[in-house]
Amino acid sequence: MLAGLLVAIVVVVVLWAVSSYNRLVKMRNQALNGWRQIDVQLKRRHDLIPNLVNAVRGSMDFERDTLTAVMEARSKALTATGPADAAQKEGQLTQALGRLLAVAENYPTLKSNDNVKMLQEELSATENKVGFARQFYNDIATSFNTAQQVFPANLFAAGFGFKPAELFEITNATERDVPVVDLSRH
Amino acid sequence: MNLYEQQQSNRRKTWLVMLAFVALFLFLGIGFDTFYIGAGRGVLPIGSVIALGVGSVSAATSYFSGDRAVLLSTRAQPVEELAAGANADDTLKLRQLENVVDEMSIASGLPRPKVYVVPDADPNAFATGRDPAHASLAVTRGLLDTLDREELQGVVAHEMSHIRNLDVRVMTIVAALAGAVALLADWARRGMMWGGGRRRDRDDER
Repeated sequence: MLAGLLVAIVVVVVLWAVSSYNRLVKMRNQALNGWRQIDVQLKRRHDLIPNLVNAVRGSMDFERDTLTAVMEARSKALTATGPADAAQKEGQLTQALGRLLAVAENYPTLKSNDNVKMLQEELSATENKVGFARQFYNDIATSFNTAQQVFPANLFAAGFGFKPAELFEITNATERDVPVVDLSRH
Repeated sequence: MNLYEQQQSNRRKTWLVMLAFVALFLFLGIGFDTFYIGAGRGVLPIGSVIALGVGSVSAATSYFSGDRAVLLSTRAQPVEELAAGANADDTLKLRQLENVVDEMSIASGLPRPKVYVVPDADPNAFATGRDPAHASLAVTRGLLDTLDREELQGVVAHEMSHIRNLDVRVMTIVAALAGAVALLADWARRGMMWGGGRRRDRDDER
């Protein structure tokens, strides 16, 4: 009787461990996939930026600083590793890009150029997609992290090599500020 | 009511509508048998059988291709087709629509629905299809012309929520079956005009 009870308890514990392990693996893959979704959009943004810079270069020759800032931020973003690092560098790129687009507003020829309009549309769409993909990823990553940290999963999660997923978020407070555009110089 | 309860209730409603539709057909068929052929004469209840068949087939058809019927009846055109022959301004608008749908499908975690434009000046939008994997989203030309990007995003987000809640399944089936009932009413009216109820007439008029 007692032996039967013990066997039953062991079976239940083993079943529970197997199912939690599988659940964590599933969640880890979902989080990875979510991160890839962001990565696809970031890559697309990196590809679009040189096109935009080339399209506006002719008309904005004396805005060299603004253009250089965008290209520099882009090449820095290309070297980012992992969500937290990428979030920080992409934040800077967003800022530089915002400044460029704001300055471009002052050039009527650019504003009415079909090519530039299309590039702007693609860039803002990509920006939105990054934003929504980020929301999606952070939600999944948070539930993955929670699943590892709750009792009793926390007893074995680290032992099986599960690590909390990094969130894609803006950590530096100054980056949350809206970019300041000084138009008085023109 | 949360999302899953809403989906559940919409699934239930779909079944109810389809069952009610088949029952209505059966009722009409029994009526046909009783009044035209005459019940209890030992003949096959031909009207009931046909009605049951037609009712079931149209219910099944409306489930699987009701979205096509709805899109056809509004003369909606796929956005890719339109973009192929559009001018620069229009290309930008259509591209914007596609991008907005992409954004909203990322945000909602749903597969991207097929996108259509309805050649109508009234601003309107609708979604159709039996589930998120077989969904279509259509906006009118008037909506594209009236709204800016952010406003369009709001409308598309609203339609995506209809897809996610499975509201589209119920509405598509209701629309397609209502069409079938209208067709039936038309037939019945013609039948009355010609036949009335005298069997002699019905035999040689048809």
